[in-house]
This record gives sequence, structure tokens and C-alpha cells, in this order.
Amino acid sequence: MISESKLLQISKPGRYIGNEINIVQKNPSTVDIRFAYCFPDVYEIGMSNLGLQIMYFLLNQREDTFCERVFMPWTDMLEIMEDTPLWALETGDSIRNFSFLGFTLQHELSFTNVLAMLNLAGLPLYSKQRTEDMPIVCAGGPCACNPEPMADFIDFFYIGDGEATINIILDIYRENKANSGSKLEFLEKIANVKGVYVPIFYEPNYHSDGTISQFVQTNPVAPKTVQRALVKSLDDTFFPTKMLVPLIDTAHNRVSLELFRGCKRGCKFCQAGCIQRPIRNRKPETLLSQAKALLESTGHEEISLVSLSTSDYPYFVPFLDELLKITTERKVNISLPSLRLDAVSIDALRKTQEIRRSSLTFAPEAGTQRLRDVVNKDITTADISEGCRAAFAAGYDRIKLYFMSGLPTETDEDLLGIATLSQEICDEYYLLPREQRKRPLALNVSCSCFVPKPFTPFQWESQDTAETFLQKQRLVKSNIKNKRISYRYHDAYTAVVEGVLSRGDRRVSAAIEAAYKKGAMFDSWTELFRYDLWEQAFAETGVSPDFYAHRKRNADEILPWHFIKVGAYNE
Amino acid sequence: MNREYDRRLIKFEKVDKMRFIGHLDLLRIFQGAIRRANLPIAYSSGFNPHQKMAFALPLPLGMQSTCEYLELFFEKNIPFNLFDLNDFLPSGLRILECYEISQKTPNPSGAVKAAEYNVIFDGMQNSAPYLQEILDSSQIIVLKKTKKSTKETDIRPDIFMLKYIETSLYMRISAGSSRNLNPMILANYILAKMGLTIFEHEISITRGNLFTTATTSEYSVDNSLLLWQIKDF
Ligand code: SF4
Repeated sequence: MISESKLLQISKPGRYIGNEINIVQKNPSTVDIRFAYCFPDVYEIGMSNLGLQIMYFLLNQREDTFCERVFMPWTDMLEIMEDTPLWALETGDSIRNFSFLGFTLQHELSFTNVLAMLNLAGLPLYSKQRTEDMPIVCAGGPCACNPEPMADFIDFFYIGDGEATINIILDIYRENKANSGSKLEFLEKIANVKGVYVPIFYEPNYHSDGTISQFVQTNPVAPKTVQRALVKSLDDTFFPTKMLVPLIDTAHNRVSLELFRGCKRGCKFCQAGCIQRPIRNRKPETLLSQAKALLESTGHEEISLVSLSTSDYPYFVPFLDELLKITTERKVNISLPSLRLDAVSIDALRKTQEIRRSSLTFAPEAGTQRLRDVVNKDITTADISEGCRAAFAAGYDRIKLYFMSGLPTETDEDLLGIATLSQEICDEYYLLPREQRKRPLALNVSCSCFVPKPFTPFQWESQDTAETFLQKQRLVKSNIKNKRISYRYHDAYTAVVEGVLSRGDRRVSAAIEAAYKKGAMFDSWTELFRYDLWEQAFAETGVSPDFYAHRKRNADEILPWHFIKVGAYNE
Repeated sequence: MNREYDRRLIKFEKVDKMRFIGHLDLLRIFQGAIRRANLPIAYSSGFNPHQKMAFALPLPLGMQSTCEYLELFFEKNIPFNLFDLNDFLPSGLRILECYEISQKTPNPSGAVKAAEYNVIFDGMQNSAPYLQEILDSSQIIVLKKTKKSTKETDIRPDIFMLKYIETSLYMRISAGSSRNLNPMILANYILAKMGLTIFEHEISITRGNLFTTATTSEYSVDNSLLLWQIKDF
């Protein structure tokens, strides 16, 4: 680990010291498996991730395994680390000799950070260059559902619910190690475990136009299709009674309760909704006992109900009433992200007094009813104005609206609709009697760039170019004239990189490596994103955004992720 | 109307890894520990109730301390053991002493006038003559940086004791809300006098006792100068 005097030279040394509440400590010499859970972003973001919290305690529940955490060092640390190899927070040991490095891929823009962490650990980037004495590098998380752009760097991917089959994989590892089996033998043994994809057992061939002609198995054990690992019942699966509590302030310092996995809405642009099927609800009893245990073991003052569309939980109202009994007694706040703007939600917000604390966020996604219908966002203009009216009446005066530009079939009319709808919401507020308006309305309109994602009905669509995005953003901006409305939009060039990485194939690896070698890192951090580096990397490696992001695919094209089955399946 | 509380003062150490934790984070860590330990802490009224507690003197990030004070307000007539808190604190934070203090006792944060620091850096064994020179001066002018400007300040009135003792350089200087001298400023002044160039991250500073009087005399544990004895005032 890094020296103490170096820690005094950087802005947030608390990121690198471990020592958190509920940290797990084991004697490394008494375990068979040393697992480094690697989060390719800064500490505060990683520690707010529910998946990390679950996997940490799940892996450490095994007596034969010691799971430690590793985060991407921030730029000030990178400057002073010099030759200190990347270390794990629990022991401070270099991860170079661990059994596994497990990366979680939360979004495509963290791919360069994965390479940076491999390099900082003192490991070659490419799987084929890593020898028997080096850790097995695996990756899971939402972006593992199109693993191909990272396939050359990762020994195996884990696709699906983390809790589902990881224990089977580790059991096989231990047995293989006891029998002095090789890395290759281990990979062959896990190739048929649900959720596992071993890239070296497959090889894509290409047509002359660049599209995939064939995807062949090069190892007889490799299954033709890879099935996503699925937890069938969230009530029976592992859930920790503890959570790590960071010593420094993080993005979300709170207990997270996952009410259900999946989403019944089926918006056509939404990858999470399309992948996480079927919907699996946790029983209210399970949730209440988890809430009690977690509040007790963490001492947190806030509990957040996290799910894709929280108010769709079938027992939402009675559950919330029961939860309120627990939280009121303990002076704990409930936070409700991702609600729909309907009567049930507004009522829930009133009960939890969330209103007095925060702003209301909701996502019409598109400016007109026509386009909302196209993308299957089942909320109407009437719902929106009614919801806002109810929210204003309940005391809200800060509203955030999320839109997307670049959705399929979008026209200028849809873009102008963003401005019109925002203005209508604004007008709605000023219909309130004067004495009910404590402050002027603050309406935040945020517009992101639509990036088509694998496994969605839009996976064949073309993505707008940066120039088109910029033009569209200007059009919306010039039509928002009200001072009360602040309009923000996402970076169009970041969207291009995200687009290439989202629907990339194996040849995209070269561009990721080139961008990383030129210095691209922390690509999701606006202030650190450097499109110029990516542009050079794309040009040098022949990876063309026109081909990967801006091209409309034919229905019969073999997509890079075609061999993965994410949907519900029967045993 | 002023409510009456069960007022306690704890003395704790903040050492090892915990030196890298800043003041606001430390506050949150204590709040969390008290909630996990289920102690009957009093909450402020109002929409966003918070636990009633106050540190005697914030400790800058990077420094260790063997003698930090935290004043806590509990609900009256509920028995509990404050030392239980040690089971809920991260390693590097440990409660050393607990005191009950009366309603009339002034707030520790207002009572602090001086603090002692042990400073360690390469070359400190040669510091004695320079320290004497400082003590013999009637004025010590340093540049103090504030948010807006840098201005010349005389820090001589803030220095009560200064000496080299085998293992460290000992300073007792102003601390608290009325006058406060950052030990790093004095350390840098001494280094400059000695002609040494040492980066701040190479200087280790540990805070010791806090005092309620700006005294220049030696103390013994029972001569009522130490902060924890303010309950006797
Ligand atoms: S409601 Fe939200 S989570 Fe559900 S499909 Fe639509 S966008 Fe996705």
C-alpha cells in the first residue's frame, strides 16, 4: 500500500485507507481464494453501489474466500503512486498475486479505467499475455451483456444476477486448484455454468462489409449460447444483513432496499428493463426484516427504496406504511428515487416528507405524445400535467425533467415539444394561488443523447452523430426562453464513444486499448473526457463510429451479442 | 425554554489511519456509532433533527491526537455505558475517559485557550537554539493566509512553551475560538530558521492536551489546567 506521507499529499486520503464500519478482515494465509472486487471508478461512487455491497458479503460468507475491494485511484493519487502496485483496501496487499480480479462494468465509459487498473496492478492487459501465476480476470455487471468490446482483456464474463452462480464457479476453482489444474482447465470447467462466457473459446469471422459472418466455438466444451444467470426468488437468495459504511462522505450514504428486480414497463430504449426479466418481487416481510437489520448494523439515517420503477411494487402502499413505523421510531428518512408521477407516488412522497427535502425528478423522455408512444413510454401529456399539479399542490417547487434527444423517428416537432412541455409545467405552477408559492419555481430540464443499446428493440437503430446532437440541442435551447427553466444537455461526443462501445464487437478492443494508452481515463467525468484521444484511437485502429454507432443494422445481421440469451428461460 | 440534558464529555484518541479523516466525516462517524450502539442521545428539534454534540476543537486532517474532546447531550435518566461506544468505532478512534459534566459548566469549545503538539521531522534534534531564539524574541512575524489575502501577523503572543524533548519538538500554543495558531505555521517558521526544506507531508504532528488557560507553566495532571477538569470550575 501507499506510504502515509504520500496520503498527506492528496485531496481525499480517506478513499485509500479502508477501515470502514463492517469491514471484513481475514487472515489471507488461511483462505484458498483471494478475490479482489474491482470497481473501475472512484471510491465514493463504488461504495454507493448496491451490487458491490451484496457481492462483498456474499463472497466473504465463504470460509475459503477473502474478498477485498479495489477502486480506481483518482488522478491526484495516480500522479504520486509511481511504482506502488494497486492494492486492496482490506489488507493493503498488492492484488498482483490474488486468485481473482472481478471487475464490475456499470457503464461503457469505465472500460478505459479497467485497463488502467490492470496496468496499475502490474498485469498485462490482454488475457493471452497473462500467465498461470497471475490472477484470473473476470467481469460482470450491466455492460457484461455485450462483452465483446472487452473480450480480449477478460478471462471470463459473468452475465446476469451476481448471486446466482458465483458460488458454483468458486467451488470449481477451489477443486481445480487442489488438483493443480491449469487456468485453461478451470475455464473449460466453468464454460457451461449459467452466466459464464469465456471469450477465448469463440472466434468471430467477418464479411467484407465488416459485419459478422460467423461466430464459431473453438473449444468443444463451449456452449453455443450463453444464458444469463438468474436468481429466481429474491426472498431465498443471499442478502447481507450488514453494509459497509464508508468513513468519508459518498454519493449515497444510506441503506438500499431492493424491492424488486425487473420492470413491467417495457420502454423500448431501456436496456435495464429489457434485460432484467422476469420481474421478481421481494416479499414485504423480507424487506422489513432487511430494513431493520441494515439500519441497526449501519446506523444510517436514510433508507432508499431502489428498483427500476419503485411505485410499481405490487405491495407499495401497505409496505410503505409498515416501513414508516420502523423509520419514524428511528428518525430515519426514506428516499424514493425512480417514481412515476402519479397519485400513489405523490401520496407516498407526502407520507415520507420527502417533499420538504428534495426536488422531484421524473422522466417524460420525449417532448410529444407521438414519440412517447413510439418508444412505449406509457405516460401521457395529461398524466404529466396532472402529476405536476399534484406535486405543486403538495409543496414541490424544484422539479427535474429528463428527456432524450435522438430517439428513433424524432422530428423537430418532438424537440420543440420539450420546450413546450417545460413551459406548460412552468405555467401550471403559476396557476397556484400566490400564497401557496413560497419560492419561484426551479425547473431543471436535462436532455441526454440517445444511445441504442443491445437487447432493446432499438438495438438495430442508427445513433445520431455528434453534429446532429449539437444541432438538436441548439434547437431546444433556443426555444426555451423562460428564466425559471434551466436547460442542460449531455455531451454529444461522449455519446459517440458510448455508442461505439455499447454495440461494439471484438475489434473495438484495439480502440479501447489505444485510447487508454493515449491517456483516456475517467471518460464519464466530463472534465476528464478527451474526445481528441478517442478520435485518434478510432482512426488508428480502424474502428469507425460510422460503422458502430451511426449505422442502421439489418434485421438479419449477426449482432456481436447474438449468442447471449438474457430473457426469462425454462430450466 | 432550555431543556436539561445528561451532559457528558468524552476524551478520545484519533490515531493511525484515522488521521486521514477530516472533521466533518469524524462527526458523521460518531453519529453513526451512537446510532448503532443505541445510546439515548438527545436530538435537536426542528424538521431535520440532528444529534446534539460538539467537539472541543476540530483537528486538522493529517494530524493525530491522543486527547480529543467531544461533548455529548443525552436524554436524562436513561442508564447507559458510554464506553460501549468503543465497540462501534473504527480502529484508530478510542474513548479513553468519560466525564459527567454539570448543566452550568461552560461549553468546552469556548473554554479551550491552548493546545500542546508534538512535532516530528528530520533534523529536529538540532532545533534547541532556534527555539530559544524564538522564545527570546518579542515579535515573530509570519505570513498568514486567509481566503482572500495574505497578511503579516505576530504569533509571538500565541507561543507559550517551545522545547525539544528527546523524541519530538514540543509546542504549547494558542488554540480555540478566540486565538488559534496552526502548529504547521510555527513548524514552518522553525524550519525556515533552521535552513531546512521539508515538505508539510513529511512533518508529523500529534496533538496532546487542551488547556483552559494560556499558561506557560509546567503542569501536572491535577493542577486544573487541563480541559477535562472544567467540570470543577
Ligand atoms: S419505466 Fe424506467 S426502468 Fe422501466 S422500462 Fe421504462 S425506463 Fe426502463
